[in-house]
Formats: sequence, structure tokens, C-alpha cells
Amino acid sequence: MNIKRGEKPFSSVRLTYLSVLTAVAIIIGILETVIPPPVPLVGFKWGFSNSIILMVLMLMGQKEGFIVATLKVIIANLLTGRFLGPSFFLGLGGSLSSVYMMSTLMKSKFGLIAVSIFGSFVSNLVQLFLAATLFIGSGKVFYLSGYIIGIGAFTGFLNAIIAYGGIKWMKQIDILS
Amino acid sequence: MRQFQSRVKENNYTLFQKRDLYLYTILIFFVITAVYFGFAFSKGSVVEVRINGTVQYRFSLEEEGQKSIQSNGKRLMDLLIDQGDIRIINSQCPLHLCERGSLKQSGVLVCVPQKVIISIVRDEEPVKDTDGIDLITG
Repeated sequence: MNIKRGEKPFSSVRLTYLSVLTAVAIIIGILETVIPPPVPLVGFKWGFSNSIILMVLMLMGQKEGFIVATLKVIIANLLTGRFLGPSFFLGLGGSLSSVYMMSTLMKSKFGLIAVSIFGSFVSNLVQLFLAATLFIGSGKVFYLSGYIIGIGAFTGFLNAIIAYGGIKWMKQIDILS
Repeated sequence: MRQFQSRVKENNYTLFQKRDLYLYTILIFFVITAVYFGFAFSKGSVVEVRINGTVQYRFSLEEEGQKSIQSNGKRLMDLLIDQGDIRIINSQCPLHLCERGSLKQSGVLVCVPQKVIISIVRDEEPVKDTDGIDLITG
């Protein structure tokens, strides 16, 4: 984050961006609960709201990424009535770990597609680990990991394209200047 | 405000970089190992139902029909065994996600809210950790 000394950490422009992007992420998160998930396992969704988190990371930084991810998981789960259920904990662990991973990789100047795919990879692994330890009590859920990570790579790829295109479009129609 | 704008204008994120190959290699390696082990371990003819980590039911894949899965006197779900494949039906969980797949598709059936995992094991695999719980073999 490049905030100069004396400048407020949250200017109104940043705050507006943060709110709008959070709202979009929540909406995508809720819509995803209506679409059948790719894997028959609670807490696993397509994960398209990750494209918004990618945008936040591109525009702002790690701290904002964590804010958006946490708010998205809490509010989307509250609105769909799954708050504090298994899918809430799996979602929270997954998205926080993926934000951390993606922002670290972004700082090391990896390409967006790899960043996004690896974010979903880490998120899936953490979710499987949480499911195995907290809920199932058996490591056999990892049998699903190849399948889940394959689907995660597919959406991760799409998410990177969406985020890249979204930022480009925002620049084109001049709302970012 | 100006800071934010300059950050937005300066960021030149690219879709691809040469160094991404390292990440892709790790990923492909992981997926291949996972798929290999998933297939290697899920061969056999015995269905094992674990509830909360302990084996509670075991039965042969060849017995067709419905099985009721219960825990502490509460009915959790029914299993439908049909032509070497298993589906969960009539689950008591709120989302019914576990009813979507079959065992052949994914190698393992999981119901997170009820803490149930259903997998295929080999015949000779000894039954462990059944402390205090009746084991029903059929």
C-alpha cells in the first residue's frame, strides 16, 4: 500500500470503490448458492466472486483484500442463512488464505492467471483440510482434491480474465481517473 | 485520492509471466498425484461408512437396494446401492448437496453437516477404531 504520510488511509474514493466491489462480491456469492455447485460438498462453490477480490488486490492491496473477503463471507452467509454453519467456516478459511496467497504472489510479480489459479488452489486445500479436521474426521476427503483443484483451476483462469478485463474496462470508460 | 489514482494508473498487471511456469508445475504435479492416489485407494468391493471419523457401517457393494444410515438412534440418510454405484437419498441435512453425486463419479461421498463420509475400501482392510460403537457388517 502506497499511502503517503499524512494522507488518510481511506479516502472517500477508496472507500467508495471498496464498498461497491464488496457489494458486487456479495451479490456474486449469493447468486452462486443458487447455481448447483460443481462438487457435491458443502462450502465448495464455483468461486467467481474471487474475480472481485482479484480486482481489489490489483487496485488497492492486501489489507483491502482481507476486508472485502471477510465481509463477503460474513454477509453472504448471513443473507443465505448459513452463518456459523460448516460452509461459513470453510468459506472464511478458504478465502482468507487465498487472499494472502494471491497478494503475496502479486507482490512477486507473477502473472494474473497464475496468481488466480494458485489462489483457488490454496483456498481449496485449506477448505479440504478444514473439512477433514473440523467436520469429517477423516482424511479421505482428499480423494476429491484432484477433481476440486481441476475445477478451481478452470474458474481461476476465468476469474483472472474477468478481473483483467474489468480493470481495463474501468480505465477505458475513465472511472478510474 | 491522488495516491489511489496513481496506483491504479501505474499498475501494469499482466496475464502471463515466464516465472508462472513454476507455479503451474507445482499445480500439475499435485493434481496428478492426487488423482493417482484417489484412484489407487478407492478400489475394492466393500463400502465403508464413517460417521464423525469412526467406522460405523461396512457392507458389500454387491448387495443392491437401500440401506438406512443411523447414528445415536437418529436416521441420517439412506444409501441406494445400484449396479456397483452408490447414491445418497433422503438425507436429513439442510442443503442436500450430498445427494448430487455418486460414488463412482467422485470416489468418495461426503455429507459435511452430518459428518458422514462414504468410501470404498478393500476387503482385507482391518476394521479399526470401533471403540464402543456397534459395527454392523452385512
